Amino acid sequence: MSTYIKLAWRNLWRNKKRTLIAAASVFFAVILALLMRSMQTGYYDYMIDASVRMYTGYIQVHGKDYWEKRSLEESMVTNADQINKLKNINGVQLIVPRFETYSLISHGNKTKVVQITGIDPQLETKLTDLKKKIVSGLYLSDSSKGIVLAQGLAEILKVEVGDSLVIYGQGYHGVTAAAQILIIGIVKFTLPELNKSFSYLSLSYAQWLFSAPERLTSLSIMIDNPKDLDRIKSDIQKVFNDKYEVMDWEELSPELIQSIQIDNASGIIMLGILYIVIAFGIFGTIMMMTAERVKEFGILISVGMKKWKLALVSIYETLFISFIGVFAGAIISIPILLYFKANPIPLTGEMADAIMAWGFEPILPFAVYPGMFFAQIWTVLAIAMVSALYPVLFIRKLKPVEAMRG
Amino acid sequence: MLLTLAWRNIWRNKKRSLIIISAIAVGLCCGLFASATMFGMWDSMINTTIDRDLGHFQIHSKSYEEEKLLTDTIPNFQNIVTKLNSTKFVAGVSSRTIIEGMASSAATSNGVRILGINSDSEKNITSIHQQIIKGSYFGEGWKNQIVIGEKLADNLGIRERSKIVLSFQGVDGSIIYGAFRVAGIYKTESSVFDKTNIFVKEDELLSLLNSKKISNEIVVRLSSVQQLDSVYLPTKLMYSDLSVKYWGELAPELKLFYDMLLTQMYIFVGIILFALLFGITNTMLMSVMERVREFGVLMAVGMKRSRVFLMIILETISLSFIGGFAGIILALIFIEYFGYVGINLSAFTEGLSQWSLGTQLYTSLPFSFYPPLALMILGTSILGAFYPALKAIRLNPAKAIRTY
Repeated sequence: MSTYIKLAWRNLWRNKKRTLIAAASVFFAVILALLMRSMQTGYYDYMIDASVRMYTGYIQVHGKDYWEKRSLEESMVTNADQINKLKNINGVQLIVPRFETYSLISHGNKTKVVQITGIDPQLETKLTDLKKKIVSGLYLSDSSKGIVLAQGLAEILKVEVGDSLVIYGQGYHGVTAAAQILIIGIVKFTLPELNKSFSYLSLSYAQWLFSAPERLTSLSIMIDNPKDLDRIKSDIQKVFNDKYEVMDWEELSPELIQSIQIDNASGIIMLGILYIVIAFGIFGTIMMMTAERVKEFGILISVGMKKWKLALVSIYETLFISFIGVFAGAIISIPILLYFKANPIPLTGEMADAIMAWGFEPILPFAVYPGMFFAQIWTVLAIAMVSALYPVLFIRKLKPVEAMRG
Repeated sequence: MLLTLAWRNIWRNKKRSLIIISAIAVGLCCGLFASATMFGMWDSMINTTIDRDLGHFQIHSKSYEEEKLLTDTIPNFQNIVTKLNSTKFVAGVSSRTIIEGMASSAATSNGVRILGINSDSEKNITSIHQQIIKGSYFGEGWKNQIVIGEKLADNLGIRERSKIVLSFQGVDGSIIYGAFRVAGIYKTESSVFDKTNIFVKEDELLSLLNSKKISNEIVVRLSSVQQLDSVYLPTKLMYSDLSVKYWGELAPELKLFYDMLLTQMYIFVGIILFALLFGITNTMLMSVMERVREFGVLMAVGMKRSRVFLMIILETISLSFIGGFAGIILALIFIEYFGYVGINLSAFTEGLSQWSLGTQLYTSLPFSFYPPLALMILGTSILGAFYPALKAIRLNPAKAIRTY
């Protein structure tokens, strides 16, 4: 066995430059592919993490039809026993209760429609860092009767901390909810949509104002490791006996997961195209190596070399050429990718502004998973096996007598 | 002469030449088709955004930009509308009254953007009237009709002919309620748009407001986007005290991504050509090594080295251009076919809807993409030929002649 490997290895280096050029094409393709995959998956991981931290959490519990109808009529009541059970699920990091509704807010002769969120101030800031986003005034406390407004909203209404607002909305069971409320803090969001429409009350005050004591519209749950999502989700479902709806981030933001899928698919298609081109290069090289050795094959077979052994040698040659490229590419990539994972590339210019406007950091994050490397190895292996068919078929059909004269 | 020679040389080893030609053709074809798919996607995104809402350009008062309040109106708007209507290339002008308010059904309420429109002039601007899925776009018969999006209808739990109460702030600051009945439900490519935008008749909204005719927004649609500069720029100059913005300024992220797209496509095709470079170099290197003796003879009988060099370059260029043309023609066939039939992407409806994309994708690629592409292919082939050609002219004729 080792003799054939040795034979194949030596055959490769009979024309060094050709072998190296073919291997180099694989080498560069693998590096490009790995860089691209690393950037894409890094970006997805970042997007998912940023978007769950922006508001939703990894998992949410709602009243049955709340997510569809967004009505206080579909709100829910939880008890301490259930919350304790949730806390005891392995991997659950944080449980954030919310009371969310829409309402009109006026100051002077200006009125805006806003989303009002009743929050548990301490828990909320652990999930969304809300307290750090305060730009003036104070953060809410548990029994606070004031309101925290998003900065864009405050600008539109031309109000500051210390001014009063009138809230006018519809409470539970259609009861009118109206109150005059003091602005105690202003909070700044990077995402313009949030910045122009969000406001926060303390949970207990919001429940009182909208005539829904003890009721919640959602529980947002943060987990330690996204890998445990499915298990934790089913554990949570058991706690509520299917009485309430439990949704994970994929269901909460279907547009996020689908945008990721679309982007991922287009990335894979591009790599596919790149590898097709590389496959032609390898195939061409193998074909040339076969064609120039017709005479040699003829002699070998006539002196008694078995055809299948010769075919085996040519398969080894193909594998060697491709795998020199793959392994060199993968090994060179590892430190590069790890470096970029630790130091994401900062973006500048218009692109950075656009990304910041979406509420994300202007960086290109990288991720490194072993699966990415294996994907390249399998792809190149497949290319090598298909290319190796050519010399195998060629040798099978070879007539030694004619070949020797060629 | 040299070209004929080069051309004949290519076909001396047909199989080898065909492999590299097909590599170039397939690589380019795939690359162009993928680019056309992306381009078609963004093209349709921009077009649907323009058709649905933006028009080609819009006029607001400067304060409306920031505050988006009902009271930020355009002074003398009727003169502007009349003037624009008689301008060449203008296909439609519509004035809108826009209020942010709440829409409530018996069950629940939602924040909405109320657009008071003239349904006749609006039809020339937006495609909403073609996207009605239930009911009609303001029929005859009853007063206070309203047209809402499917997503909002679902959220509010209402159907066609259901009652809906709008509450919003009037001109003087008081809260005004108005009962409307759903005349039609529309569905566009964007779920976000469908959730927040509702249409009522301008005169009915104004009578609720107890106000004379006002306008927050004038939307202009041209007969073609090519006329943008000839209408938009003079308008912008004429009304310098108002904010006049074309779609790219109204949706800057769309414009930015669109601009980046072209760069992205060049990079992508560049990567493919880079991969092809190795194949080209390898093929030409083999071809040169097979012909060492021939080059020796050519140089010995007096062919200049520069001409040998040029011959090899020409061989490579011809090789690449055969592949290049085959690839471009193949790609054009695919792009035209799928540009006509479309690619069905209904599996990704929600994600596409978030990006304001339809589920049917039509491929397209601007023709301005092709000339730089030809240059890129030329550059690649010269780069690929360089090393083999150098190797050929470095041969020592005396030794080369004796190489078998």
